Amino acid sequence: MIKLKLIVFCLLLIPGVFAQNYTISGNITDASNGEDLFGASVVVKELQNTGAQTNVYGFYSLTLPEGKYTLVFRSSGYSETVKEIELKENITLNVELEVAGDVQELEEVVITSKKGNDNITSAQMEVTRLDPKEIQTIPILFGEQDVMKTLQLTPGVKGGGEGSAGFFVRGGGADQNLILLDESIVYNASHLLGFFSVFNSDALKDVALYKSGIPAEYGGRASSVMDVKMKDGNSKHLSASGGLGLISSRLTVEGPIVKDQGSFILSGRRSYADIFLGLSNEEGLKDTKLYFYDLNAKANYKISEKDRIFLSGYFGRDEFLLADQFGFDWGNTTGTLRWNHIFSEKLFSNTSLIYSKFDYQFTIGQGEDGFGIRSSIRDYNLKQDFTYYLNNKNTIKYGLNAIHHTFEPGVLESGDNVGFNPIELDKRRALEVGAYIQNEQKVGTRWALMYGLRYSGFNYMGEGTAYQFDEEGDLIEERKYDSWESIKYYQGFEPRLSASYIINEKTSVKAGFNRIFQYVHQLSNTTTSSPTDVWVPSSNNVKPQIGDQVALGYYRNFKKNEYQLSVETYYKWLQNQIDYKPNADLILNSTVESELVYGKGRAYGVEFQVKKTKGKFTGWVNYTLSRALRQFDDIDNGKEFSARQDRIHDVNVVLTYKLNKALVLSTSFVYYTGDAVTFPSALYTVDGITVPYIESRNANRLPDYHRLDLGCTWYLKEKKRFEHNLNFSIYNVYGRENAFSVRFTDSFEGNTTGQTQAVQTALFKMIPSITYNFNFK
Amino acid sequence: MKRVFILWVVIALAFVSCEKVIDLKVNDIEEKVVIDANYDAVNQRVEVKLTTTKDVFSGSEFPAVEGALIEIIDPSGNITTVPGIGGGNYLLTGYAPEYNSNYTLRVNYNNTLYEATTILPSVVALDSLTQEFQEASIFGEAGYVVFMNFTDPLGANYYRAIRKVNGEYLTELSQQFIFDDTFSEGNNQKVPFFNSRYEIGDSVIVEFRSYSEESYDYYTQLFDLAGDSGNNAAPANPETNWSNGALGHFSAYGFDSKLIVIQE
Repeated sequence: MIKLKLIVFCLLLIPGVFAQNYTISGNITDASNGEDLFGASVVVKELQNTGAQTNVYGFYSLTLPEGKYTLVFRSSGYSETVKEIELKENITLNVELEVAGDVQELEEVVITSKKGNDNITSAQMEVTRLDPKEIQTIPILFGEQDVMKTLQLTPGVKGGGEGSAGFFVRGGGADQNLILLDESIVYNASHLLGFFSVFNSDALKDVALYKSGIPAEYGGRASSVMDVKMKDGNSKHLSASGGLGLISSRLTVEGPIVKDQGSFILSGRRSYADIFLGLSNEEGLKDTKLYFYDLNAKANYKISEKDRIFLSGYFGRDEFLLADQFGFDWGNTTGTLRWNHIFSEKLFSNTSLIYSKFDYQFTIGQGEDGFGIRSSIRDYNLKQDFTYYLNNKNTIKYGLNAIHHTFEPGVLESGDNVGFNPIELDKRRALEVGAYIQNEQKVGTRWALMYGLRYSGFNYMGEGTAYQFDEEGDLIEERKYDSWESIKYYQGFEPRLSASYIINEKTSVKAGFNRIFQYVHQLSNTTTSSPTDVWVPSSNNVKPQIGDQVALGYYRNFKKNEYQLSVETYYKWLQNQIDYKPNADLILNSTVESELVYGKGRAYGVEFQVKKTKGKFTGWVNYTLSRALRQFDDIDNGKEFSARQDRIHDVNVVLTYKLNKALVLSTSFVYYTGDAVTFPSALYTVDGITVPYIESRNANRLPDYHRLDLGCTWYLKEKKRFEHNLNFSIYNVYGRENAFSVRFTDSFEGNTTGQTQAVQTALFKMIPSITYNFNFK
Repeated sequence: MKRVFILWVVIALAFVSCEKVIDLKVNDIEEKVVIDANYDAVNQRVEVKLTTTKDVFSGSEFPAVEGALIEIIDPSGNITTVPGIGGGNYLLTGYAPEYNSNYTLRVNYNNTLYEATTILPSVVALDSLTQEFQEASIFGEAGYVVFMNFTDPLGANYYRAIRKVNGEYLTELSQQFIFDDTFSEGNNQKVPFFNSRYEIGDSVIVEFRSYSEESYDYYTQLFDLAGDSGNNAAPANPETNWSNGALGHFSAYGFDSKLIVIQE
């Protein structure tokens, strides 16, 4: 590691003017509520191509030769602030930016690069960034705002199916997305069959999705990183916001702990689908409970000018209860304790201690006549990150990370009358470590580079029993291991590279490469996401997944950055992919690894997008042409087949029109090639039952999917500190019955011929909804 | 276990979904031979139904295969012919069993020999059938639930329960009941037919079959595949014991049987 650092530092020794240099550093915050502004920029008027951007904590550092400068501070949606300085020593300069007035507000865009032409000049390949308060106007199922569903409307991101919050990025699997909430891993980001995500938009500050050229600070998932940041809370004064919707209601309270020193935010959401069930005439449904809730809480406090502490947590749960006969509940709990420390105006440090847990349990019957099954995954995670602002050309990030995982594959508890033996599968433990160093460098005026290396290691360890299976899945060895005794160690180096060549201030070309090792895997052999999709570690049988991707992009802005065109193309290789033997039982199975088969995958495609970022009319149109393929020796005799999400053509249109101060209209349209699925190739009969014959995997297609949604947001009359609006939306306006699944049956209603028919199930046929939102400023 | 999870999905979807028949293309294949063979050791019958596959959207019956030469070989190597009785059916009666032994069935058709071997496991006794009243719930209307009471012997055991209610066999897929002793090894068992509710006066006969592991695997896979409503991400054909690419299975089983007439 030390050697590595030396090499990188040597690379950075760029001969330059040896005038005395000084550093300006500080925080950029929102003047109205004190929230840190992430990605805000400082530009030096006198020097071309010189500036800095704030990190996620709003901190920036800029090193310049002695002299007089005009600094321009800006961030999208805020008025510019200009400061004249005379630089003859290191200075701290904290800046508050005022929210732009109405006129500029029109320029706000839903998906934003924080600076006008940042999409052109940064080394990082296109990052999809959402501002949660800005996606409000996009029409969405049941009017329930959801950042994960809005992400599915962006290029390269495919939803898990109708109404689903799960997603696939550039042909990767559903478990290949690293989903972080304030740095804490979220293992299951869906509520209620996946129709909603666990992210309550009210509590969020920023959502970023990295799909190529992934920075070295992230690791652990082969395809993408979705980095979600919670709001810090208003440090100026107490405020509240919330909403009433068809599915859920929300309330957020935030305010200062000590003005400008610290703040808190508390945000809750609860759904009430079960209230409708209570109205049902069906006897059995009356005692049914079916709801979810989310609670986000965060507090931060500035101990000194150089130290700041953050404590944030998320608690969410789904409850599904049928009287006293059947119960099923699951949820995530996360906690993050962070300490920001500014060692010097050039060295910023963050230390995080993170807890993350996902568990599910279900029960059937009660007491002595019932039994229950539960399972969980729990992490303790320690992270140390440094940012070193070497000079105005180089920003170096480095850090360390260690996660202790405990997997509890399954416990069965049974009442005496049931006759089941209690089962407790051995817990499985692992230590996942990472270390990285990365430099973001400007070379001349044309090149921006980001290059880094991550080392990752994974120690699958005791205590517990490890089973060794041969290629047929037969058990050949069984051995007990002591606590912390290593069963299997995997490690690897992950190079990361992004380079941007700026042709002019409107045009650039970028390229990226990344390799990522993934050591934990989610097992699921159904097409719908379920809380019982269990996570397993890499082990003596299961090798880590490896994702390699190269990407190339062309970016061009028109009309003063008003229109942004991007074309990105990529090729991705996936190793050690997991699939299942027929009828694999993934629940409460101590030898679950014997049910797995291993193979590889590849994905490639090209994504076109035009965005309009300013004016009354904003939005984007994108088209993706892509393939996602898999190959397993044990499936179809090793023939390559389409992954389910291999949707060849994919079109998204999102448009927002600001009619006047009070009315915003919006629409979105989605079209994609039907999912690759397996239909029978023949029928036969055994035991009087008609059985489908399966010839090859995913060789058929569901009908193509398309849907149009409309939305309208009506801003009601404002009072001094009170804003409110009504949001109307219609999902699936023309009532397209999109296939959720297809089954083959000869007994569908009205069928008297005995002939088999293909019967599709469609979920949502035109759903209107209304949501009321308010904000006490 | 998997069925339990599917249940809640089905319940939740029932509120919003709608169904319709659509036109779809599937990839047709050439016909394959299907051999559905059973040796019922209690009734001493070897029954074979020989058919071929048909196209998915073909409205015709499953084509019967006549004129095959079928032979069964007992544990001592004696060969007995299973004669054809028409309609693709072949039947041998009065064939005495030897438990915990292997039987082999040979089917010679169209110059191709298909062969399968299976074990006839010993029979686990069904001690009794009992009844209990259940209030109405999501699982069914109010009514009587029938429980099977038996003692699971040590070692892996595989069961299939066939019901004859008021004189009629329940043959539909949704009424199939197959289970093993993974969670209940060696225990006294009280297993309900939870989804079925009976009224006073109903007569329920349960044929409690003991299957081999291989037959259990075949039928669980078969039922899962046949009952899948498009939610299985990796559907696959059940693993057959036939050679030469024939579909179907050869099972040998014995059973214990009890009758209950539901009373107040």
